[in-house]
Amino acid sequence: MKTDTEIETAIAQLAQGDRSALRPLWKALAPQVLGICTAILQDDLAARAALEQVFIKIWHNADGLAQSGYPPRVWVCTIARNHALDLIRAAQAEGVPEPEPRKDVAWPEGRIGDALALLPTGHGQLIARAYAYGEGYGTLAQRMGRMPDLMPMLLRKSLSALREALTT
Amino acid sequence: MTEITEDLACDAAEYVLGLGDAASRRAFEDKMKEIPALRDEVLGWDSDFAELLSLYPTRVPPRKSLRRVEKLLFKGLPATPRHKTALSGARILAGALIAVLLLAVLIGRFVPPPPVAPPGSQPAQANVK
Repeated sequence: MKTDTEIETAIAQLAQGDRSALRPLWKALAPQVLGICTAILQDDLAARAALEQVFIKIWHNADGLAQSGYPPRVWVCTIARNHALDLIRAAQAEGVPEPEPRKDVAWPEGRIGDALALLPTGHGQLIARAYAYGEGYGTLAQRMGRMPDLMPMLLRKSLSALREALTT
Repeated sequence: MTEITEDLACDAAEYVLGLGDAASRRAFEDKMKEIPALRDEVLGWDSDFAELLSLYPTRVPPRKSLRRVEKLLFKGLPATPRHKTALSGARILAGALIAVLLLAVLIGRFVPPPPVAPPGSQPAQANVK
């Protein structure tokens, strides 16, 4: 199972309660979901637990794909990212510190890559890091040597510019 | 995509990127319920950023993870799809209804008819004056 159509069909089967569709979907997407959860959570055990929770969410929400407007693979990956982000932010709310900054992201060429490259120096990297590692304003401020409170103002300007670049 | 303010568009981007803390994520999700156009904006950002999904290296999960998911989802459930389970429920109901009707017909056939009064006799009531 590789194509969007095959993934969409499998998710539609799940929505019908057909459990036989779970294994092929797992085989197709679990490695990607685990990759996302590991990158954001930076903890193997937590990432595996998150992977399992994501597939349970997929099973329970499979009937939502059709009306979501998302391509099926993006839909699954978005559930995975949001789940991992919620976990890491909940942990941080309880006092777990944001992780140490990691290596720079080499984003791929393409529409978004080109638009990120147009942003003020360093801002494309910040946005790519937020997406790839789930780094929040706190970690990004640490990276930039800025006060965390200033980061939203700085980055929102770049997000507006990015939106402009992507819509023209 | 429905037009929304630049400020809300940035809120959506922050949410998609996961820049805010837990409380701001919940607040944005509440806002999405009030402003349906925000959901479209989030979809737009998610679709735009989807090109970056290739940044995540894939990792093969252990086999026991799938077994655990299956156990959590399917333990104690019959091995049939949900819609089939619903159908079989309807079938059981229909079967029970037919059984009740059959029983009623059979009872009606084998219960002896009430005794017929001999000719000339009057109902007891008729003798009461």
